[in-house]
Amino acid sequence: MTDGATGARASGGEWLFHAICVLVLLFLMVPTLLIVPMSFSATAYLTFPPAGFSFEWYHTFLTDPEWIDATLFSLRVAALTTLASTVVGTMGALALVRGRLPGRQTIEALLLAPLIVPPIIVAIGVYLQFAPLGLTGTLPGFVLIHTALAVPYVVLVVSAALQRLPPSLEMAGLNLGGSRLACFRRITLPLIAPSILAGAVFAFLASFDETVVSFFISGVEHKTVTRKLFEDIEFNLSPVIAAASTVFVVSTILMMWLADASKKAATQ
Amino acid sequence: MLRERPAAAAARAAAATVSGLAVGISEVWRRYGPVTAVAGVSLDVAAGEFVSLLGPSGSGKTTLLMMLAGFEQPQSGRLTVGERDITRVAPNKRNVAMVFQRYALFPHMTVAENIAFPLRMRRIGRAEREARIRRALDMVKLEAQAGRKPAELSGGQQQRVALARAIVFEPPVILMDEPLGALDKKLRQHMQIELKQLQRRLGATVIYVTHDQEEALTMSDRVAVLNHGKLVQLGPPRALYDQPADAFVADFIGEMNLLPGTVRAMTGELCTLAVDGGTAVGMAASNSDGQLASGKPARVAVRPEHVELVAASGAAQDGLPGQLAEIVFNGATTAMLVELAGGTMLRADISTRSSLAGLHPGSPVVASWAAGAALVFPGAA
Amino acid sequence: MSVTTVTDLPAGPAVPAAAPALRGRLSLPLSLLLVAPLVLLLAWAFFLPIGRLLLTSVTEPTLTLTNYRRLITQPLYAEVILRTVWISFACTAAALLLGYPVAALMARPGRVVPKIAAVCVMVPLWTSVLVRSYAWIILLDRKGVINTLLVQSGVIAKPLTMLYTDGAVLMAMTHVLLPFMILPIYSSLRSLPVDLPRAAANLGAGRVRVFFAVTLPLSLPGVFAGCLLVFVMALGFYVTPALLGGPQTLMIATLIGQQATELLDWPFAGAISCVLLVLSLGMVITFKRLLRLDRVVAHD
Ligand SMILES: Nc1ncnc2c1ncn2[C@@H]1O[C@H](COP(=O)(O)OP(=O)(O)OP(=O)(O)O)[C@@H](O)[C@H]1O
Ligand SMILES: [Mg+2]
Repeated sequence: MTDGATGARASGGEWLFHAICVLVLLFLMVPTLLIVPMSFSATAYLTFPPAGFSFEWYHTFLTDPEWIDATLFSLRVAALTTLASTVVGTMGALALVRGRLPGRQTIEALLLAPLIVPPIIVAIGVYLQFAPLGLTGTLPGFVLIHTALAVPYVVLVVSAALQRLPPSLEMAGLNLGGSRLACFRRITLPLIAPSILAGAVFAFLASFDETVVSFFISGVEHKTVTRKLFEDIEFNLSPVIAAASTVFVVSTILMMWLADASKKAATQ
Repeated sequence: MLRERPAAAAARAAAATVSGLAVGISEVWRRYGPVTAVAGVSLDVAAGEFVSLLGPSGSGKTTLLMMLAGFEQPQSGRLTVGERDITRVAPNKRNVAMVFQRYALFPHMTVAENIAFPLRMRRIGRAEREARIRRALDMVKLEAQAGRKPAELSGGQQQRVALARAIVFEPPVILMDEPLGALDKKLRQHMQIELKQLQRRLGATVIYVTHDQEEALTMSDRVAVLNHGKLVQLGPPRALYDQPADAFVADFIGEMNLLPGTVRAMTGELCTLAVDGGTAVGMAASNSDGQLASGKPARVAVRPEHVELVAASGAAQDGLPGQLAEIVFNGATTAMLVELAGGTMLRADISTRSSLAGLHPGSPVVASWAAGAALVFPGAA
Repeated sequence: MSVTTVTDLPAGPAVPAAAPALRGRLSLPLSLLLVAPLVLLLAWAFFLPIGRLLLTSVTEPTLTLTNYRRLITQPLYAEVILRTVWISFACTAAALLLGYPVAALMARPGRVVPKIAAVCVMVPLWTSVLVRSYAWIILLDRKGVINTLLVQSGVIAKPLTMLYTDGAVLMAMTHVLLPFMILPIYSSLRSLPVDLPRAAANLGAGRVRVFFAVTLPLSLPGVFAGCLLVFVMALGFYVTPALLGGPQTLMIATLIGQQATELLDWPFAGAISCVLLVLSLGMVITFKRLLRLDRVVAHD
């Protein structure tokens, strides 16, 4: 490894520094990567190195109705959450950055609460609130609470983009004869679209990955894939979990990469 | 009293095809909390005229422009364009174009799309739109760059796009807020000329904000000098230079020596003052209204090019005795900095070609000027 | 924009109702309309449930403090709270020690090495906590990867019990939270002008001196932010302790879950929640200025 900072030959300290870095990076990556070989194992039990090679567990994941139902339900929840939090969050960001709001700072501070308050507290509280209304284990219930948890990401990302946007652009649009709506649609929106997309991706992942609240408000009929994973990890450590996890990790990385690429393309 | 009829401008404007409209600003006020940004400004701009708003930072230039564009509302007063009262009209309904300091080009649109924007907003048909875009691009010499994004243009080119976008819908009034502020000196001077020519060709009324007094003097039919939100003087560049209304304008426009002293005698308009151990003369400023009387403090304003220097001869001489402190070569002229007997510095610009042999730093000199070349303002600094 | 001050002006004319400044601002009704769904949603689906949970801890069965008395008087609960604080603290310290070098590596100039490091940090961050906890089970199980390798290579004769211990929880939590330590430190190191360490070196400071005299102090805001973030997240962690911890390694969050679902003692769960919330929010509010969540979430 070359040292870009000084171009000097690696000294003893430099060598140690790199050694530590490599070890930590391995610590970060290995557990995550380990699930991939496990998912192709031919045995039903955890063995290492995996005995044999098969797609059996992927097949199971894709055909077992429980996994299919849970995955489809999570996807539905995440899609609706993405839609709701993107719309609600973008509107909120506009009001917070461009509007004249009394108590703006209070709202901004409270927005961070869903990122700070331990999920277990939210989970128990939401269960108490939703159960009497029959909202636990229902699509609207999941979408409501997931949107509340995901919307701060959208607001933060979109606010940052709006703040970077010089107000003179919209002023120029108005000056040139555009209505407020036309200026928003033709100037502001296209310029913050990459950030809205990034916020949408965050929201989708926040919902799809959400574990604790989903665990507590899942019902017998409707459970999210995180609840299904949780149960399976706790009660039968089958390699299907590895297969499912691999699918989710790969799709997540693809999504993040796509969002990143679109953001880069837009800023160029 | 400050408002003069822009006879010359009107005549020139009449010669061109005037498409501009007159702009009226009357008794306009705007305060922000304790700060008065614009304090009762009244200003009538003739159709086709080029008027600069000149003033130091914070003098209210941008605020005045923002009110004309509709992004700020005056708390009182009236704004008109032609016969139309625009005081309460929404910004997008004013038909008053604005060129922003940082251009405010839409970064996601090409040059052509930027220029098309105001035409689209006015629902102008495709054929007409394309023709107008081509004409505007031609006017600012950017035909080759039509397909590029603003980020791919130089500062000067971006400036031209902003200009093209502002003129393409043929607005009767164009507002510009330091449009050349971001350009380097050379390009700025070049663009000043182009801007001015373009304005003549279009016949549009232009209100131009700058804090660069040279720019204001070169480009404008008339200049409005603002200070602390007040209009302190309005007039053609030459009038501002020769007859500044007060010490502020005198100091702000061009190089000026402002020497504090005490009035010794008044003979009609001619004022004699005691300044720094010597005698100075000047004409009473037009609005000094009897505030200049013997024994009162006053300041005499004289431009460096009007100051004459002679070597001190020992005999009693009229003028201000002092010592040559520094000689600064400026090209065509040479600035002689004189330290007067009382310590005040005085600058004299002498043609480099005229020989002032024998003078060198340390030489005793006497400075003087023709009474008609200096103005006397009442009051201390 | 007070109207009265305007009319107070000596030379000022009578002024009509204060006119709004229009510089690109939305009107008040429009602003309220835009922000209303956000505020209503958070209030109803987030703040109200939490508030009600906390309220049950003092109102059920009657207006009472028994739940809190129980929390204080029974040593089991104090133990859980202390263990949680201890594990969170250890986790923060471990993450700091492991994370700082990686953050420094990411902040270095160059293309390839920092990029690889960044990928190694981001991929775990985007991977579900469940998946990562599962991975640690695979690693630490009696028949797991580490035991298999150790037994096969003859280092040990019988597999070790690693899963369901404090050590397992600590290790996995450090792994899960490490990116939240690295990213703030990285961002503060990135904003540090490269000239500063160079200037110090130019003035004769050695590498070690440069680090302790210049780089480290200037990266402290990132260090504080990272520590606070990791500590607060660790305090409320549920998934990893629930999956990797045994009955002896109860933490606050798992205790809350247990009380609510297994014992159906909601008021007591509310009381513990209140303690956890006070701990977490107390930390955040105390060190508020150090925590720039938006920077962690919205890094470009
Ligand atoms: N939105 C505002 N809120 C409060 N004060 C303001 C606002 N806009 C302008 N001001 C104040 O009004 C005064 C005039 O400002 P303005 O921007 O018009 O000055 P300017 O002449 O354009 O100065 P510059 O040459 O620096 O651009 C300043 O004192 C400024 O601080
Ligand atoms: Mg200005």
